[in-house]
Amino acid sequence: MDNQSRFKIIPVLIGLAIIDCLVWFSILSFPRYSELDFLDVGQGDASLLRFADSAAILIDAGPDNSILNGLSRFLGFFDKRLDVLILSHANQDHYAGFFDILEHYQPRVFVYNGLDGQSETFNNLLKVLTDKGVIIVKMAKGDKIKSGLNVLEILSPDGQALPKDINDASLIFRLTVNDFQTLFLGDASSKVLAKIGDNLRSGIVKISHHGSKTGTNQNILDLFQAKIALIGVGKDNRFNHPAQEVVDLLKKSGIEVFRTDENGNIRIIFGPQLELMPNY
Amino acid sequence: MSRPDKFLICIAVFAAGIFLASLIFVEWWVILLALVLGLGFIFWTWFLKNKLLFWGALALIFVIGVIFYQSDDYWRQKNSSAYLNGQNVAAVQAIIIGEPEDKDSFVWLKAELIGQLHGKVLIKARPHLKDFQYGDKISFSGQLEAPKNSGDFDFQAYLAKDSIYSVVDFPEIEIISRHNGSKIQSLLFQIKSEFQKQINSFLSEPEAGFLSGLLLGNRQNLSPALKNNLQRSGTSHLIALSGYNITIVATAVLSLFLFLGFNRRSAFWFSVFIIILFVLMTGASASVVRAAIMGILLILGQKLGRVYYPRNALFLAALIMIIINPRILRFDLAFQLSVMATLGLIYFTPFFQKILKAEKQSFLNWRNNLSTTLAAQLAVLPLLISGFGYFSPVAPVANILIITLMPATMFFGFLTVILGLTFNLLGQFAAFLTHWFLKYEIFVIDFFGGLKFASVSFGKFQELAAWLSVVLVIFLFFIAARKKYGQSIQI
Repeated sequence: MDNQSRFKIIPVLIGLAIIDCLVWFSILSFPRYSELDFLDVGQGDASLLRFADSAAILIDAGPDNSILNGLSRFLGFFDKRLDVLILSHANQDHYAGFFDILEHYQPRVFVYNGLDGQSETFNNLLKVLTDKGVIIVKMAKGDKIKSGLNVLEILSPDGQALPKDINDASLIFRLTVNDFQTLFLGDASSKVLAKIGDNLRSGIVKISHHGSKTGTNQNILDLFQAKIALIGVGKDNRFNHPAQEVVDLLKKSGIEVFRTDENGNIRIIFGPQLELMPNY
Repeated sequence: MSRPDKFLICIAVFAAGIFLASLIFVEWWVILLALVLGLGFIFWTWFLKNKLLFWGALALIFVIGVIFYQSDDYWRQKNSSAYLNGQNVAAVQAIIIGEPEDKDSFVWLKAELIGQLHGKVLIKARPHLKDFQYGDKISFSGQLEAPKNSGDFDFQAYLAKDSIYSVVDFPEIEIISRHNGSKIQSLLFQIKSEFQKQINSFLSEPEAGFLSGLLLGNRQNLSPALKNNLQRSGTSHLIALSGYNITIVATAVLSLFLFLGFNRRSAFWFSVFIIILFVLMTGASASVVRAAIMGILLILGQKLGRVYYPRNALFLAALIMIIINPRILRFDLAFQLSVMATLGLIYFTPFFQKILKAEKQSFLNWRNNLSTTLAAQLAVLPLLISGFGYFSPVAPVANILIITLMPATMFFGFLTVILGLTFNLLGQFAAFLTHWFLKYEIFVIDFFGGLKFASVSFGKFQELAAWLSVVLVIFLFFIAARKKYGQSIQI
């Protein structure tokens, strides 16, 4: 081989090396265990769930485009796939971020409680979802989303008798990964939670309504028997969430509290042991 | 005095007349008197063939400047919707005349009333209420109010610049029909949104938001923290689609057409055409229009075989823009910044080039880049201090670290979009390269913006500092002009 053709081969080799790196990079960025990222989106809720078999589910999207920074960080540069979007209920601090997500990602399915006509803005969201070709699914008590052995089981509301109150109509569901249970309560009030009863037992609980008094009391905590509580709140929010009583109650019951205003993004890994990393 | 010098002085005096009229209202009888006296003086000197003729003409031009501003203002108010302020209106029809502007907790819609009513209004709407677009015919019910100034910010003057004299807060709005705007403008906005979609689909935040600022002047997706750091590090002009960005685009387009085998003449005309489309697409902000006019004059100068004086081109561009809208002279910070920055480039660059020995070969041409950065920064100093109350001592370093890679970033950014529209997989690859450039630039911005001493605020000495900087910069211009700097230079 003469000198000139040797030089020509170098760019090709570099190109191949880069592509090789990219392939490995994307293979290694699949999670080994299922993960739940409870995202800091200011005053609002958003959780990203990624199963070990790579399916990605986003539960609520926070109040604005701050969700995008969290998603790009946890999904990685190349991954623009979100399999399922779940909206607990039609309040802006849970769904407004979906507008921004739809500008960047191509989700496949959108799940909500079916309570329509709540506001013009929410109607607009349904319209944008339809325009983008996202399948819209209404779910209620008894419905399940499965990915491998992992199950998301909806506990409330009753599809035949939807509560009129937006918060009380929240989709409440329990996630089971390996043997770990995580409960998502939306913004439901304790009245609704009490009705579900024993099914609420769960190690990790996303506390209802950003830790407001309406969703948590001693009776409800007894039903959970939880070890870990997650609260999605913004710093110095104008609602004074979470309520001091609720925080005190949780601590008194020996439940560890993690809140996005103090702990930032919170990552939970469902490995052989449960791993929890605040400020991730 | 040479002929170009006289021409420049005439423009400056005309602008001075406009500036005076924007500060105070001059009674019409005073104007009439000045006009009569001025004309009399001109006839007299012309008759005597006196050298004072030029001075008489200048006085007249000054008065014409005042008249021009005041009559423009009169017609704006007469055609405005100010007469409706304070009234509740129901089911008023209007057409959206610009792209909706996202302001975090609300959206701005600029709309022109139609039917029985006339005038332009600014509508504040809740975000994501409806999918509003340029050219939508809407019907709204709500209360029209005169804009209210908040704190130091003269909101009234800011809106009057675009002939808007009424604001409607959160009315009920229905979309009646779509596509009632200009066909060309809608098409260009569609192209822009297609560009935006490609950027969003390949890149993540904050990189996507930063790139859409660079290429399209869209700053909506930038996080508040990044915006803050851009300001503190003195680099926010990069995402404002300033003259700098458009010059890169123009040069690239020209070289592309030449590369494709067009002759020089048709390559020039194609570039002119594309520059105009690009300006329209980005919403024709002051600095982009200024840069575009400069670019076109540059090309024209070459075509006519004349020596190109950037100084004259700048004055002509400013004149055209002031004639189109005299209010920008005092009320459009973007216009002021871009004129001053260009003046700085023209007059101060040679000085810094001399000090930094820019003729020497340097790594990535940093000597030259630093000269132009320092020149522009120095010239806009008075505006920054009076407008924002601070200046950024780290700006030269932050700018030089970013500007060096800017052409490459913009090139790969455009490549990503173009490939994305044609060969998706290759687009992915280009996006990967672009992404590293953007990551580096955002890192630099965050690093310098995060430094404690990144921005020096003057507090209660702001006014004093502003005046001192004005005196300093005028003095330096004076020296530079005497040294015959600013004769010809590549911008």
